[in-house]
Amino acid sequence: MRRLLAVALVAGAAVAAGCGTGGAPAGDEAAATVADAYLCDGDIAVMAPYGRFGATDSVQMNWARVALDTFNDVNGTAFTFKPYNVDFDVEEGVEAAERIVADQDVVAVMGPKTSVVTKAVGPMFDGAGLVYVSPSATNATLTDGSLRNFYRVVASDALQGPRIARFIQEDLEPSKVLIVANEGEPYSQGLSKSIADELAERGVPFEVIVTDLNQRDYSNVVTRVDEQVNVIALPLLDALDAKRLAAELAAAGKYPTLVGGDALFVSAFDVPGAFVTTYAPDASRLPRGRDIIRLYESIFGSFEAYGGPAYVAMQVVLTAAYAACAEDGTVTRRGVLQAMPDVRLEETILGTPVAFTPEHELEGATINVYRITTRGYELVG
Amino acid sequence: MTGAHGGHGGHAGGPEHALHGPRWLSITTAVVLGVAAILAGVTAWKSTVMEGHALENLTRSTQAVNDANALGQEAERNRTGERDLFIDYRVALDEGNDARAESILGMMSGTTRAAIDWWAAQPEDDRPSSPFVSANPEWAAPGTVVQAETALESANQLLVKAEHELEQAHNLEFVAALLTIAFLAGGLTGLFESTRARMGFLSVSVVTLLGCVVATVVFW
Repeated sequence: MRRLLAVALVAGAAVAAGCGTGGAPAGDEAAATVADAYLCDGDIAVMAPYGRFGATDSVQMNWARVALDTFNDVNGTAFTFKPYNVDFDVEEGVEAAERIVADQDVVAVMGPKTSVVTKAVGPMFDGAGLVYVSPSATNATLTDGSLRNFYRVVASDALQGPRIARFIQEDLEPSKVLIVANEGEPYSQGLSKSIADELAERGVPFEVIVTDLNQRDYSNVVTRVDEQVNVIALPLLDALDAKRLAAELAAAGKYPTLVGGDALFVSAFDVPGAFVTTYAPDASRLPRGRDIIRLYESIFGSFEAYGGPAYVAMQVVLTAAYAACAEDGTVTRRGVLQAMPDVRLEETILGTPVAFTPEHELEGATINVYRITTRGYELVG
Repeated sequence: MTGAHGGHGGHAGGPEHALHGPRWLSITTAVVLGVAAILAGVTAWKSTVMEGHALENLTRSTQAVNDANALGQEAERNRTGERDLFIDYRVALDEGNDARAESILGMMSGTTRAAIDWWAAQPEDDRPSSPFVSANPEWAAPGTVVQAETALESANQLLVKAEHELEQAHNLEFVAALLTIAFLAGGLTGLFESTRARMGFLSVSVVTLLGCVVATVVFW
């Protein structure tokens, strides 16, 4: 009961952090109460890429940083972070996880980014009693109970696959769908299976073709696009792969409608006319989101919508850590772990509240479909 | 219309209630006027207090905006400065001019030096192209920008609060002005012989007073 009260106390503070100082006065009071009583600090490990793949791939790290600095400023806390440069390379992920587990200053983890790394490092974090909250790992099996301390602030592919299939059937009048998936990559495999299952159930003809991650030549796919195929579903992990495929199709004079998953909701996949899904609404359309975007732009320049959930994931981790601080007077891995199930954010920059199901899925998660235009993204469903 | 003391030559002409109406009417009129007077005083006092608060918050808001702007400009200046110094530092190192590099390093702030130290300590494979990236925990600029934004947001909130208080103060002033109707109507009751006319004016006074009470509660 005391823990529930602690979480309720700091949830308002988290909302205030999420909404600038425009948050509820109750949050400010809560913040003052906890901050006056204790100095809440601790390291949050952030597993997200930075530095090697260009600006786009620093997006989640950027958003996590904005969330951390804002939370500290609003709540008077002194949380710090430790960056771990991990994208979808499992070996790097495991190596980073070993260092995180061994570092007793780390009280929780924001990340990993990808499902494949999450599957690999999850058991290590579980064993060390660390909470890990992903802003983008969507594979449906991650929440089947095998990863005890895993949470995510985005919808599962169990929702995304059917949503993509429904969109294809209801809006694109498909004669035949070609699904292009990455060989052996959990995110891509899970999503393509989910799309295929739903298309089969709806009686839509389809074929599946597998490609390698970062494949250079897509002629094997291009030759499969005959007169029958008018829609290509792209549950691919890397946006640059999808961009290359689109370019090769265009070079061959073939223009089927392209539908990508959430991994393609990045500026690197700038193919006008294509559709992409996202698990988070466009923050720039929401007043709270716009405030944070302005802040983001004043620090990092260009804005990338794709990172919004990283802000929320960091906010969730910090809220749990803050609750642990309010409960115990100090922040420990165990405290954060115990506080996590009760974390609720009534308002976020994405315009949707955050709470978790007993399976650690986001309550009320939805999937939106956007059309890529020359002016940006246009919501279509 | 006849004055209260005209007509039959004052009190000799008939019983008291013939000239002044029932006693309860006079008492009620007096009570209504008394309450109206108290309410007018209270609304005037509250209005003045709220105007005072509004002015205080306006002043604080202006100061906060100035502080936030100064903080924002300082953050921007620091960011530009640290980048320029870092570029010069790298050029000096690349040219093998260690003395110049050392000198530039000395010109940097402690936080900038810490940011560069973190960056230099990263394995080459993982090292970002610049020390001034979000992944660098020692890079202080994001925190400063956040502080400036938060200060600006606080200033805006103070401004909104001040505007609200000013509006409330004006509303209460309007209530005080409306109360003059209650005074006028209440005062006129004494000039009439007709009980019906007096009750009519008293009713106007009471209704106005009640309206003002409600408005005062709403605008408090």
